[in-house]
Amino acid sequence: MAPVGHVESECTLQRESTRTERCKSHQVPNCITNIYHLGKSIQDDDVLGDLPCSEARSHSLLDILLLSQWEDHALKGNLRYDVSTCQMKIVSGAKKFIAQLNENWNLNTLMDFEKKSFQARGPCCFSDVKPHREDLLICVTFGEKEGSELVSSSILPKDGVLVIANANPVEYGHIFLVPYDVHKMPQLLDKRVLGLMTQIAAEVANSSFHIFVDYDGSESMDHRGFQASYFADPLPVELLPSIPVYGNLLSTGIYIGEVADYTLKALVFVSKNFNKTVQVVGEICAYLCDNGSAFSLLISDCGKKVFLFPQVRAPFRYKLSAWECGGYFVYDTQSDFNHVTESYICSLLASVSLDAHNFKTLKQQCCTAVSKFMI
Amino acid sequence: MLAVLTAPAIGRRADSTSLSPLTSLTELMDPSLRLPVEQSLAARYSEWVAEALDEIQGCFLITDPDIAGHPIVFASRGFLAMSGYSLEEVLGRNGRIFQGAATDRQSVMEIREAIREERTLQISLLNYRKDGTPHWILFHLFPVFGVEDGRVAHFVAVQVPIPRRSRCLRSLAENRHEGGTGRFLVACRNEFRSDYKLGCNPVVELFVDVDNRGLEAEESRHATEQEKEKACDAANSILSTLAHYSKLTGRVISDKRRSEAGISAINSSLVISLGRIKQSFVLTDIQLPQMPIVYASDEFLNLTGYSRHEVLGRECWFLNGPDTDADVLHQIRQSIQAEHSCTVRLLNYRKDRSSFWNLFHISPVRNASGKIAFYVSVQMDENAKSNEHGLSPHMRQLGVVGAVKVAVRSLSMCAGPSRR
Repeated sequence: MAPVGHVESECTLQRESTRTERCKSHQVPNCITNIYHLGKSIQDDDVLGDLPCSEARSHSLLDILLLSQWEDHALKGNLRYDVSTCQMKIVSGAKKFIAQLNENWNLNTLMDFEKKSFQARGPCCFSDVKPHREDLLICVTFGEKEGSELVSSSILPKDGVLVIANANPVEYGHIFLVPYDVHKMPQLLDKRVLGLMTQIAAEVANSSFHIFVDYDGSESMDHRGFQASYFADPLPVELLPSIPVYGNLLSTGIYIGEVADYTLKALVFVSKNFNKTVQVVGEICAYLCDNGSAFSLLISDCGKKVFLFPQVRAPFRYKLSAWECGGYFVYDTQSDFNHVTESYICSLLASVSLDAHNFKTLKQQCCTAVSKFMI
Repeated sequence: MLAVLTAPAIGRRADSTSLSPLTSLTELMDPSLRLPVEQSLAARYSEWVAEALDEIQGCFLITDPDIAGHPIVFASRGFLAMSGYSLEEVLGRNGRIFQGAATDRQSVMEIREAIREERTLQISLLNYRKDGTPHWILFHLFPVFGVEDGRVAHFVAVQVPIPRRSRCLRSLAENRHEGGTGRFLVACRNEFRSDYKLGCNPVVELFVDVDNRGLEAEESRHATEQEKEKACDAANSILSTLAHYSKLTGRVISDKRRSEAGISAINSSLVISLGRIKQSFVLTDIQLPQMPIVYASDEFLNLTGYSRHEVLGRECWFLNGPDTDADVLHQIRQSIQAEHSCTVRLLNYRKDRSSFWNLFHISPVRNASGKIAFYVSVQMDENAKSNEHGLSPHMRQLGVVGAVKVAVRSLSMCAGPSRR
């Protein structure tokens, strides 16, 4: 799996080895938190089954854990504001885009967090965790046992995913999911990490829980992390039908579709076996990264659906985050919130969309990728 | 029956002793308003509604804000008996005629504000009867909205007399039955909880007013929970009657404005979401003063021994009992007032009167409008607690709060796009 594309100069290699040395000397982490061990059983094929996600089933342990840790964090006053006081509305129109009025939120706070956490091209060491120690909620890691297990108050394992509260949430439960590994540099968009994220989505088993990631195609921001949040309602893009591009669930086990009637050309990957999805999506992401293309991913429906929003990457052009690609927009002024229209949003989505030709190429690439895994 | 109005009786007017000191000639109904006042109810609820309203026990008035002067368009028999007025003397008049010198101006202002803001209000008020005698009432006002246009169709003012609490009244209760709904409760040891219903029965009124000296010197008189409940019960009966009859004309009404973004109805999709939360909790509606329970989980019913219909609509304090610490209850009330969450330990009682220590957490829950729609309270029996799957009981409670908060924030809860 090729690393996220960049040319490594001698200097950077040297910088990296020094950092790795530093990390090795800090192998014993001095951070205590609750560790959630993912069970091995969910990693098998076809365990997701036929039941639609989270209907009539009780909340999973990981779901309760995330909700409670978030609520506890909020009660202690660690968030900058209570996002549930932010008014929401449906923008009138057929697409039913969702708008939120949030005077406390702005894009810059998100970017600041990422600059702090993700020193360019270094492995995520425990020293990097320090600025976020107080926002660290739990850690998720691959477990050794069949079933999942929560171990309270233990030291961080050698690798896993740090779950860090976003003090400037866009919605309830907005968290950063930061994969780390003491020994090596995590490739944020490689299949292992994608698989881990999809597994977390499946384990939470709550259709409100969405995981997303944005990749902007430039070298400096290639370590942008995953985020997750609870959206009470499906995002507008999730309600749209799709035009088949490849396969169907019955015969091939994986379905790839083009989102219909959406001004941002997007693909949706559906499978009950998320290992299959991860393989295909991983391939496509690698292809896009190699070409320096920007895109956003949205993992929804408890890991069964992945939306891919390829975006035109241009300097100084407004880039959309994954939830915006999904149809959820946050405005920090009353007048913007009051005056937003569906046609404005549609033109905004269209402005970052691939053109028909490039999108067709992408679709062909998907078919190529998936046929590699169809035995 | 709605009496056919006759021309004002000149003779009666001349008899000053039968009129309240505040009534003046100019305040009798303007003849040009007679027809709108007579037609006000029939136009929306059909001619049969007056008969149905007459069957409801209690003292209440209905007013029409669309007619100049915001006049009374209906007065219940109970009200007329309590106030001493006849129907002709009240119809077409504004409710201020029942106020007097010692009526608290601040309370009057609050009523005006509630009318202006078209919302519910429950307040103690000193009113005056036709013969000039003052009496304290619990005044419960609520608007009724037209579903189609979202405008206020009528205001309803339910009035429950608040008697002076004294020993002689209690012995009266012990010696007589209550007619009508037949509710008769034994007075408890707390001297200020008069646990009987005073109907609008003139006999009882006379007894109460034997000692009304100094009534006007009282700055306020507080209603008991029973009186508040009685007001709400009457309000609900009136509302359902009006709603029912409004369907006959097609001009349907509701107690909630349809397009209000703050609507906190429990709809079926919310019930489904809440049903996934397998812990004891209830949701209470904070828009009504007694904070009734609008949702209770199965686990709550198992914990307390009540059935769902015994719990829904009941005020949220009903698990408390004689040995429940009043300071803790005060702490909870203060948190609610401050719109904060709080965690306490208090003694609660099941249906079979057995008690248990309840690890209780309550939190405000907002809907998509950003405003508080409900309070969620999570109960945990101290004896039953255990660290299930590594999650502490308090964490499990917070998990319930989080799940409820996500569910209630759904836009499907709001009837339509925001009016803001």
